[in-house]
Amino acid sequence: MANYNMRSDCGCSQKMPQRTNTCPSNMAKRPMRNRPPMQQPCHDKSEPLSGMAIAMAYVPWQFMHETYEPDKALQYGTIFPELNKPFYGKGGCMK
Amino acid sequence: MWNYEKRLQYPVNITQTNPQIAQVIISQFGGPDGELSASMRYLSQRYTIPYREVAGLLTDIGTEELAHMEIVCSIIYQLTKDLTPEEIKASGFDKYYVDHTLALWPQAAGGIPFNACEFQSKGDPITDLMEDMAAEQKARSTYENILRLVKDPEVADPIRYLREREVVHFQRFGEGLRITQEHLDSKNFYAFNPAFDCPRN
Amino acid sequence: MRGNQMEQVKLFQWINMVSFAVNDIVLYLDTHPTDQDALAYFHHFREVRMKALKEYEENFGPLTLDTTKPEHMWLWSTQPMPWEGGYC
Repeated sequence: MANYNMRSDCGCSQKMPQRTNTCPSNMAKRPMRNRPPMQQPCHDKSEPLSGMAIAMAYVPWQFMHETYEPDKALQYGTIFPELNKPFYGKGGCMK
Repeated sequence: MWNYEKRLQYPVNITQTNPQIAQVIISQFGGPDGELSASMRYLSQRYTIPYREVAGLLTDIGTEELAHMEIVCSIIYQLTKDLTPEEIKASGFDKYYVDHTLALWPQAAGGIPFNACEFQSKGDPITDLMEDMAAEQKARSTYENILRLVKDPEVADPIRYLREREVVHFQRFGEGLRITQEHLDSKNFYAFNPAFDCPRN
Repeated sequence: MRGNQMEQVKLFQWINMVSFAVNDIVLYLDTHPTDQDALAYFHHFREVRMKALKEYEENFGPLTLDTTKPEHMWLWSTQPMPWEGGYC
């Protein structure tokens, strides 16, 4: 999974800790650095959607492989195993 | 046009009434993220979608949502079947009963009647498909909220099925969006609305 | 009569399963219109479903207006409705 917390728009070169999306607390006061002009679009190799146009959402294509037998398919709610995403939540953990 | 088949897409056989949970599940009938809303949303949007595969998808999923509405209504019907006045009073179902007896009427659990403000049909295929993808996620979340409250496996079973269909529909609308993107220029997907504007040369 | 009811239930369950297979592949085909495996899947289950619907109508009553062949009575609106539960 891409380390999508490595944002280039914070203006800092610090790598962010995993699972947070906050910049360091002195970010608001730091001026944006002047960046050298980019010759070509920068493709971050850690970005799986590298090369895709920004300001748009993309859902990956599904391709047909194996399918469930009809009795299982109806029970699960799909003929496709890769679309079978059960729910296990029970709540009550936030206190 | 539509045909009708005398069966539910997924069976509903509930042997124990429960008006309290019926009052919650009714949101998936007439609520903002419910099956009626989903169906009307897709069946309304399809007319002005400029790509046939996407219009076909909206027609087919919109039709399936009517079948899901029927499943939700069957669940509510069986949960409230033959309730006595004492049961109605004890469960808080009396506020609904006074206006509808045991009939099905599309409203949200909180009482807001179904209305067209609960969905959008914007006339721009990118916007409409984003609305549809969001709608499927909202419906999924609503079913998950219901599953946390339901104890009866006869009720949980069709609810679980309906939730899984939302995941599948999300994938299909996502693919519909990819089809739309392929017709447009990725340098600027928003240069014009393909359902209304003439493309720039 | 009991054996007959079990057969009705089993055939009804089978119709639900194969009809669902058709439903799900139709949505896949809407976005993958040239997928040959999906087309073959559709043809197979659509045929299985049509056969099952015809068999159900001949023995137990109509599930669609296309397969109804009323002889002495209009069963379409007089047999149980789907929301009543059980297997009609």
